[in-house]
Amino acid sequence: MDYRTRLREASKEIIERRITSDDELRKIADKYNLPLSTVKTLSTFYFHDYSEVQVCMGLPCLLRGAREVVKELERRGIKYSITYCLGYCDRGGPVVRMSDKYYTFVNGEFREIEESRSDYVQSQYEPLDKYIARGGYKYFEKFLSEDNKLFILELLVKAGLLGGGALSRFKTLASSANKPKYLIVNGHEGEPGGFKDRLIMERNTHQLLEGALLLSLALNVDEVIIAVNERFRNAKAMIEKALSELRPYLTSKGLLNKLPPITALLVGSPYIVGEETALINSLEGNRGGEPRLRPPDPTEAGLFGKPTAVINVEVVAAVPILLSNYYEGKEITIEKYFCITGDVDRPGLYKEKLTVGLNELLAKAGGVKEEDVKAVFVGGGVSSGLVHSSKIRVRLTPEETRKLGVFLGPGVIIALSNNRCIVDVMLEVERFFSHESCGRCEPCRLGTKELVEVLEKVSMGKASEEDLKWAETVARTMMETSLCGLGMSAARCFSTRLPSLGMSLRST
Amino acid sequence: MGMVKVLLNGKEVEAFEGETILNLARRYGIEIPTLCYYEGFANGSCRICIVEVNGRLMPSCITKVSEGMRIETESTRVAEARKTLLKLLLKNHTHRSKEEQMRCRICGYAVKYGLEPAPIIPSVKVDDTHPAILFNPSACVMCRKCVIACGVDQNNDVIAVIGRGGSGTRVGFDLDIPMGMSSCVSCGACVDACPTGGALMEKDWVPADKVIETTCPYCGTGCQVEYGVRDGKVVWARGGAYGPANEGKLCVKGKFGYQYVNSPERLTKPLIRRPGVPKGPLNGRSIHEVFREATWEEALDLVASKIKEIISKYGPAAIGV
Repeated sequence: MDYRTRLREASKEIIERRITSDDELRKIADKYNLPLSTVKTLSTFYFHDYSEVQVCMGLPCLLRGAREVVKELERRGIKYSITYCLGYCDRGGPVVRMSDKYYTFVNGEFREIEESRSDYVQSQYEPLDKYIARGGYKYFEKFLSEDNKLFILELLVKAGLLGGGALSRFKTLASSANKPKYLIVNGHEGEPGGFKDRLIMERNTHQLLEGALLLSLALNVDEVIIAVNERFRNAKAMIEKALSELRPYLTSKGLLNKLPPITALLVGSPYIVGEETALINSLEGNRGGEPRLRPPDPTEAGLFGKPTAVINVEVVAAVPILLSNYYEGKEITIEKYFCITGDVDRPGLYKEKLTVGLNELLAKAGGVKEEDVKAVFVGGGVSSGLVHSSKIRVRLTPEETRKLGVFLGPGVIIALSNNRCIVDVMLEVERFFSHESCGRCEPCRLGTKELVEVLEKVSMGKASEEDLKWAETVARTMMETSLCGLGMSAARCFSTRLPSLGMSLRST
Repeated sequence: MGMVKVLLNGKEVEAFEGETILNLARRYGIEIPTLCYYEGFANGSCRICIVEVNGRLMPSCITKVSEGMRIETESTRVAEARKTLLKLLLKNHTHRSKEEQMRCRICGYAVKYGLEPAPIIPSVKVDDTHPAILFNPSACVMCRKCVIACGVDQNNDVIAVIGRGGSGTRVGFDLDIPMGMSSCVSCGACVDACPTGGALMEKDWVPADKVIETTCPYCGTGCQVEYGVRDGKVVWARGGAYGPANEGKLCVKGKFGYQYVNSPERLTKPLIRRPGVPKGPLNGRSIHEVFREATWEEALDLVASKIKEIISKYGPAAIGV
């Protein structure tokens, strides 16, 4: 094996087996003939917050009392570590992982989350015959015979799932002669408050696979990789189960040889790995998923330096539906998934047209009355926009939300009621960013740490005017000089959130 | 190679297509501060070398020029961002002595931008397990030059980035063990690369009065080396980047094995065997019991007379060079 292959295989094994002990790492270094420092850097990047017991401190869990979990564990003398987003943000309480089991903490006791059990996930799986019975693969061969397959991308743009910039980059990729070309289906979903992609992978597995195949034909790629967050082991098992059903079906139709191979691979769980260049780095086995310098864009030089399209699970799974709509002359529209958490009665997954009002969506989840809402994180959760209660009637169309600085894609909705202190919420958000910074570029690594310190002071009422001015300068520099979106989001959150709420740190 | 025209600080200049802004600026004698810049590698982590390009801040060390670029290397925005980045570094960085602070590039830039250099705290915890190199994590600013020097440039792969996060990212050796117990071969490339002057440094480093350039006297590779000299004695060595044989790198002998220069046992004059003393190991005898010091004239005369003697006795075929 050459060096790159050995590195990739070692990285895969470290992630799959969650290897953190020095003894095991030494064995991995021996097995793949790699330096000790290389395996250590990979392990500490992916599992820097790993332990037998992990408590999620993501905003949805915090709002449901994650601090109480910590107290309870300390009372019981159980060692734990803090992490961000274990999934299952809508299960009623803060989430804890103990060994391989997931629990919520409700009314003073730990309850295993049924949804996390593999037997439960199996029971929710949609087999191929059922998928075909509801219209799966109906237009697959018709599409295969189309001369120009790129129209399928236009359908995604029409449905509001793809932007114009991405469309033109994908078109360039489709016609590029640089081979092999790759399609990576991004199933990372590390955003606290997000769980739709995992559920799609677990439950609409065949729809996702058909979408991936249709896109691979349109984009003219040679291989499809479904990159699954290593925390979603059930999802990966379901994809593999679906693939084993799909292969004989495609063979019987004489299609298998005409289609690129699909594989599902685990990638590291840190938030930053969801960034597309970081995801590519993770798949290649480079130090975790640190983002890459751009240009080049992945569509020019991505995985192994080859043209690569990285597309999110929900978007890929939408393709078969949009294609049916197109061939059946229906309106090109789709219901988007929203993951609602925070101060609502019925947190969970909601499917709505992209014209729904934010207030209507919240009403479905119940709980807070419109006038009791202080603000709502919309779209990319804490890294996207915070919408003030005065804008709560906004229609969740891409155009309307963009005006509010919201990127709708991840569909995360976290509601904050009037009795929440915005400074404390922002402090937690900055702690999240600081914890999740990959540590590569200085403005993000040191800037997030600095913003946390200033917000801690504000929270205790000890911040001076000078502190606030300094924090504003730091945030501006982070926005202007960070390597990737994480540092920029962390800063944007600090410097634009409060003004957008008509508030200032000086008055809260 | 094609040429492109760009505006550099308001002046139209010609640039090589594909060169970085930093390279261009240096060719035109414009200084841009750099910390993590490592010749030949795209690092781009410290962002100190940012410049304003068409109204956006870009790191000059990894941004390539393109036709019509408007580049400002010291605009108000650049200066403010650079100052903020320096302040952040200075808040997360200390030195153990004034001498260390004096050779720190960050503290040097701090003075240039009107900031206080990093504080001096002598009693910090350091890793002093290595015989020749001292590691002070409190001085480290995570520029990652040592990681490149050790891993990519010297292919030793001992130093790596450990962990993640705003407070959790640092450098470590092998499986994050003390440096002295690691597989370090003491090439010293990390020390020469470190811009802080104190995070990774020669254990017995002292400031030099002058620096001289010479060729390493050990093997036949011909590495160029710079010696720091203080009171007439060599006090440190570093690779000379201009040397085509070593491009700034050294091995453990060149980097740390210069003490023989000042050794009392070093031969500085020719020695002639004392009459009647047989050949063989010294076996604990002082060298002066076996040899006496001589002048070069005397030594050469002796060698010449012995050669003549051999030729007259055995003929010219008995001599070989």
